[in-house]
Amino acid sequence: MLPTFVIGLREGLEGSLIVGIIAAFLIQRSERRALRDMWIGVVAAVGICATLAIVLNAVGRSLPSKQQAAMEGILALVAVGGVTYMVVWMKRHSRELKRQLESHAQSALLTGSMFALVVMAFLAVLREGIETAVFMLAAFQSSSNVAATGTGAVLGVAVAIGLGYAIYKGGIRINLSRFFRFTGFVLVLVAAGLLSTAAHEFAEAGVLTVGLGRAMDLSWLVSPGTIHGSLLTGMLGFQPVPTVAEVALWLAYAVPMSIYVLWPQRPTARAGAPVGAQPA
Amino acid sequence: MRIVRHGLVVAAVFLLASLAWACGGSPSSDAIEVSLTDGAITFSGSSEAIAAGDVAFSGTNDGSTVHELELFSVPDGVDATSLDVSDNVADTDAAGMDVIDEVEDIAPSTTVELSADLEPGTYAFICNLPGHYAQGMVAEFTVS
Repeated sequence: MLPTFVIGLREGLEGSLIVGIIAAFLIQRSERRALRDMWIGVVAAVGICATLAIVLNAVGRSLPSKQQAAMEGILALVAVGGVTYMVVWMKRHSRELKRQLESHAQSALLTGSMFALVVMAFLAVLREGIETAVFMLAAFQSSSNVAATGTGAVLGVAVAIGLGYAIYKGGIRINLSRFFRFTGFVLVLVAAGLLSTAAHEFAEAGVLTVGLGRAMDLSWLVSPGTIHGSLLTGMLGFQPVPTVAEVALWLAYAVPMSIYVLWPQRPTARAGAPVGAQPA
Repeated sequence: MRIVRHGLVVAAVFLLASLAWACGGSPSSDAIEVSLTDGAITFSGSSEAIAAGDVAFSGTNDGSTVHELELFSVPDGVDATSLDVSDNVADTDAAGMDVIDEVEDIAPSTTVELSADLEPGTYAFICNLPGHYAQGMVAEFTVS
């Protein structure tokens, strides 16, 4: 049961993390309509992945691994773009958003960005859903011990969704400026992981052919088959034995973007009180 | 709702493209059974005289932990069972071995299918999760 639990947990994490943060953001913004659209997108993504798995099973073929890897690599890159856009946008508009929220003003300026968030939630779930659907089907269809294998897989995905929900709950409690900084930082790490995952997938697909030497052995930290290992792989994209390309891309993204997000914003209009100095 | 429709169009295209790939080959008749245990990869049936063409394998994880099944082509003069191990994994790149196909995340007591169009030559199945190759999870075979 534990082996499939761990895989289910890892597969479900990234998607539920991104969906949780987007949902918390939309709730904070009182964007009920966009939130509803987001849920429709998430359900659609889950439905598509389930359909894909069932159809493939019915025709008795597995998804060719190279094409699957290439597709996941492309979706990962699109997600990196989406997350980066969201992080930069949050940083730029956090002040303005806060004002609008306080005055309950509805803004047409943000409509396009809401659209981007909804699409991003859809893609995040779609990307992980493909692997999860293939894996779930194997757990239920070809296992000689369906009860243990299937229960583990379902529980793993359920716990991943639970963690996403906890992030969402936490996200709607904390105040908006902290929310931007905290989720911005989390999203930077997720996006760095996605970038490194994209490198991993493209290497598997045979598209990426440079930097494939092993950079280091992280298997003591990200040991496959353990819960902490799947948390690190699922959220941050850490591989047990990453290649040079995976590590280089991770650092090249995470370091400058973290600095950008965590750097205190200089007050523009009013000089004086630094951010965070006001009484809570 | 416009948003959702856009998403659905993208997804439908993706679904059809995947199916087109998946249905490309014709299903093979008898799959060659491969067994993965903690420390070995073995052919359950006869591994001799695998004929070139579309070969189907069915891999069963008879071990206690998660394994993966990677199919490599092995160049002449390379012994896939004695590769250099660096950072806990077999250095297949240095040996000039190419991945033909692979299935990751095979849970214990689960069977997966893997098929490939193989030309005559030497091939190897490897589980390259950290430490697993060194424990003996490699099997070489020839296609004639």
